[in-house]
Amino acid sequence: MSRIRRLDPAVADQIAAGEVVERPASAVKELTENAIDAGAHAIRVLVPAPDRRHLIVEDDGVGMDRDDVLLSVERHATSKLARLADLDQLGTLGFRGEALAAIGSVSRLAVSSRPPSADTGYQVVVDHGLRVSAGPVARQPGTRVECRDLFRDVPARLKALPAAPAEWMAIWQVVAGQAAAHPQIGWTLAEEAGGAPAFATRPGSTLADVLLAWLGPDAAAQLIPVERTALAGDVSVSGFILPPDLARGNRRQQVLAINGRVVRNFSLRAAVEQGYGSLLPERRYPGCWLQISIPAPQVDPNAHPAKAEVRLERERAVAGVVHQAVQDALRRQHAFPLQAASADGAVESASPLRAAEQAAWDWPSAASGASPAPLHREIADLVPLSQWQARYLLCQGAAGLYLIDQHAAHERVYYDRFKQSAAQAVPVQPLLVPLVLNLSRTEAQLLATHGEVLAASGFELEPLGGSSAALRAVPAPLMDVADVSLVQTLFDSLLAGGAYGEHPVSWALDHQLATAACKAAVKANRPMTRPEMERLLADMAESPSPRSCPHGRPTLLVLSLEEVDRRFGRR
Amino acid sequence: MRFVADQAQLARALQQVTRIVSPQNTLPALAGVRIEVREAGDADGHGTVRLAATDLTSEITVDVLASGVEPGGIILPAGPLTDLVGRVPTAEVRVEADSAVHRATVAYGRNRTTLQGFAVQEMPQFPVREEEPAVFDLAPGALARLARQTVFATAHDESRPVLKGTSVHVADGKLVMVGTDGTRLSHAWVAVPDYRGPALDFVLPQRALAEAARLAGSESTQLSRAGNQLEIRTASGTLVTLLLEGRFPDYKRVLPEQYLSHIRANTDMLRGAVERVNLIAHRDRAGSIRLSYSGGALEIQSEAVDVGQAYELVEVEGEGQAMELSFSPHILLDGIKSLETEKMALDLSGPEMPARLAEVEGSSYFHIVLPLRQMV
Ligand SMILES: Nc1ncnc2c1ncn2[C@@H]1O[C@H](COP(=O)(O)OP(=O)(O)O)[C@@H](O)[C@H]1O
Ligand SMILES: [Mg+2]
Repeated sequence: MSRIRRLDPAVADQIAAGEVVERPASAVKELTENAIDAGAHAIRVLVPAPDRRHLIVEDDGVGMDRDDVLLSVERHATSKLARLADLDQLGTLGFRGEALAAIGSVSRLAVSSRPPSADTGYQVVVDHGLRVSAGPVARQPGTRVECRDLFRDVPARLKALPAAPAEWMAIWQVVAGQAAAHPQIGWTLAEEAGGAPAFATRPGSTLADVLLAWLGPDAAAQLIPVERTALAGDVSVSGFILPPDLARGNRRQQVLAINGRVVRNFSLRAAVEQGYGSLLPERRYPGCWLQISIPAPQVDPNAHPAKAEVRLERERAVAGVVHQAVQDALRRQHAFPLQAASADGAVESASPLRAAEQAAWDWPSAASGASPAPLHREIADLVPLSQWQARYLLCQGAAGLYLIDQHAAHERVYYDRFKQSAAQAVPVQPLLVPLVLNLSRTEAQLLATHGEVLAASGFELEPLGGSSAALRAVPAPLMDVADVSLVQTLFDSLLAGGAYGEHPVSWALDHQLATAACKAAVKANRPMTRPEMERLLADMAESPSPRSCPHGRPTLLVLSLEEVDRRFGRR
Repeated sequence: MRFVADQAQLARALQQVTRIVSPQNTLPALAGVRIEVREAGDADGHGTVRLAATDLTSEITVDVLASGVEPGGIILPAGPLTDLVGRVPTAEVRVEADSAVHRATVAYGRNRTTLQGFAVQEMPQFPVREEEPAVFDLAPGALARLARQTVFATAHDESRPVLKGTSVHVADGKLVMVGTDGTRLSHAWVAVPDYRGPALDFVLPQRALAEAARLAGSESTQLSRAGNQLEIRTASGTLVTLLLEGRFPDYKRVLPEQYLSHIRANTDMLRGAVERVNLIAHRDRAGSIRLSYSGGALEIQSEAVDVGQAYELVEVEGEGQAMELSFSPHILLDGIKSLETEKMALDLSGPEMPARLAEVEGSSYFHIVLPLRQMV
């Protein structure tokens, strides 16, 4: 029986469709989505040609019978959606019925498939939109889609393609990202059948298994679990993040999946990154693999031609949950491998979190006040023994022997202090010659709605009509850096919804404060007396995040008694 | 090419031209100095060697007298050459270039170093302007003073490229230079009594002005402007620069029309007081210094949380309203430091309105600063 129907043209048009395949990696994305939708247990992606324009995606899913194979390559033919209203309850990744048709119109496409119940399979071959052949084939249950000579007759696309190694990287990223979103499926990515896979996981894996394949054992051992359900159980976030010191210069180690769909979403991404706060050095991006589940009606997957961007109904609230989840995970994670158990439970079971979840609806930052007492007590209880190399403090404490980087620790103390004073009112430097800015539509709207917030923080931005505005005054401490990019940062943080923690304006200040703290802090090679050390430890214990300096480097290391005993062969 | 030059003269000339060479260059020849002997020497073999370097916006050329000259040219790497000639222990340096292989030997006494270079054509040269230039002279030291008083007030960031230059306006026997970074403004002028041509208006890149001033020192200078180029000729060398494009903001609109208080102070005394009060103000990132004027005294104060307060009283002559203003610490100090006369004027147009710092004698310079506004 045929499952595929032609979409009613009216419905087809309503679903705004754009260019689906713009490069080989996006074809891989579409084809793997189809395999996932087909309920596959194992999906194999082969990319044989060195130019990455020959792709094969094979699955062991429900397959298609003769009629479906023939229909599958037609435009607006889908088994997944009949009415627009159904979009609200969509359980599949595909819904437009145009991926196969689109790929078939720019390549030589062979689709062969066999439902498990049928005895033979059926294959159709389409070359640049024209059917070349169709007929029965022998094959095992499941579907195989092969696409060759992608963009052969589309010189414009062909010219714009990234270099083959970059494309291979992008394909790797797509497959690994899908695996992180659907770890239970077994994934293989290889350059040739039977060749060593570039990425492989087994069916029935967990996200942790997938990340072991992704990162290798060393980094995988450092993964920090993230788990949070909020907003009356509507929204849940689960997955892993990497500690700040493993942050990278790019965002390749980031996967956000909403209801199984790998997406790009500025607010959510910013929520994760802001969750690290000052633990992250500038322009370093943390590793994160988060699966977010949201009731289907609150997600609109139809916002982007490649379905990579989704529209969320309560984006700010969801971003708030993600932010909180990341922050909690980082706090819970003890600086030291041992002794973590006791610290763990304490934070999680606290009941004020429920209230915080309520607050997340309006201004999801409210919860960030609670501080992880155990770590602070631990630092406050440290007894300085001596200074080593005029650089590190040796201290004795609950978890063993502590090494504290005096400069990093002091830097943290100053940073917090500066940050506090920066939160107080600052004088405003009016500009003799206003800086005229060209704003985007969104920015102009932000200015209209947030003009007062900005003015209250010392930025006087006056709309000049159209898309321009004049910056007439800036907070005096920011005068040296008052240029277009500062205003950009400001808008970016406003755009992100102010969903987390501090005031948007203080983000713009962060870098400045960190630099000032670095200058003010005691340097290495500076002998310290015992009272000085005690004072530093006491100040550290007051810091909201004493474990790292504002540039993201750790402030302390610990050597446990067990470790020392073990090394001396006492255990 | 071949010549023999005095070590000290050649070393000095190299230092003058190579200041403009930027160490990072995609075009290797741009990291070099062009060395040329254009004409055969006189009967005794005496002639001129011309050294030149460019950053593509400006070019500096300096001539050195030499003996034993034979025409030709080469580009040699600026860093190694300057360092080498500076360290040569003999009184004379002999340079001989083989233009076929673009290599030159720098010889001193019995010793020598050979440097690999480039053909002279590889350094882009400024096109020679065909139109008749507008030419005028500046008195000895004038250019250096104009640069001292305006360059510091120009912008350093890229948001408004035109503010990275000094606006120059020549008309009615006067040359006016204005530099502003958006928060403060410097306005300096000199007489150019001999210029009778049409009014000139252009924007000079801050770096070119600073380098030209260094080249000129206390000497007199001749400026010629043709199209988008300005040539500044001094006794030690010549700088040619492209002018900045874009319209300089209409700064006259921000100059106060009248002042409510006029204060006269001893420049050094006020500067010392502000410097000391700044010590405290600097401790606080949001620090500011407060000036209160009333009668014959100017009170200057600052405070920084956890550090302390500073208070100074400077006796001044003055008339007009009592007033209180705050300033960003370094902005006010920079302004006072740019005044070169013993007595200074401080004119106030209102508590949150522009204030003017000016030289009293000669009145050829003033500086405008905007006070801070305290947020409520
Ligand atoms: N790997 C597959 N296994 C089973 N059916 C598939 C597979 N790929 C495509 N199909 C069928 O072909 C139809 C068209 O696919 P596609 O053009 O990607 O549109 P969409 O996924 O939006 O429905 C799908 O609805 C599905 O029924
Ligand atoms: Mg699909």
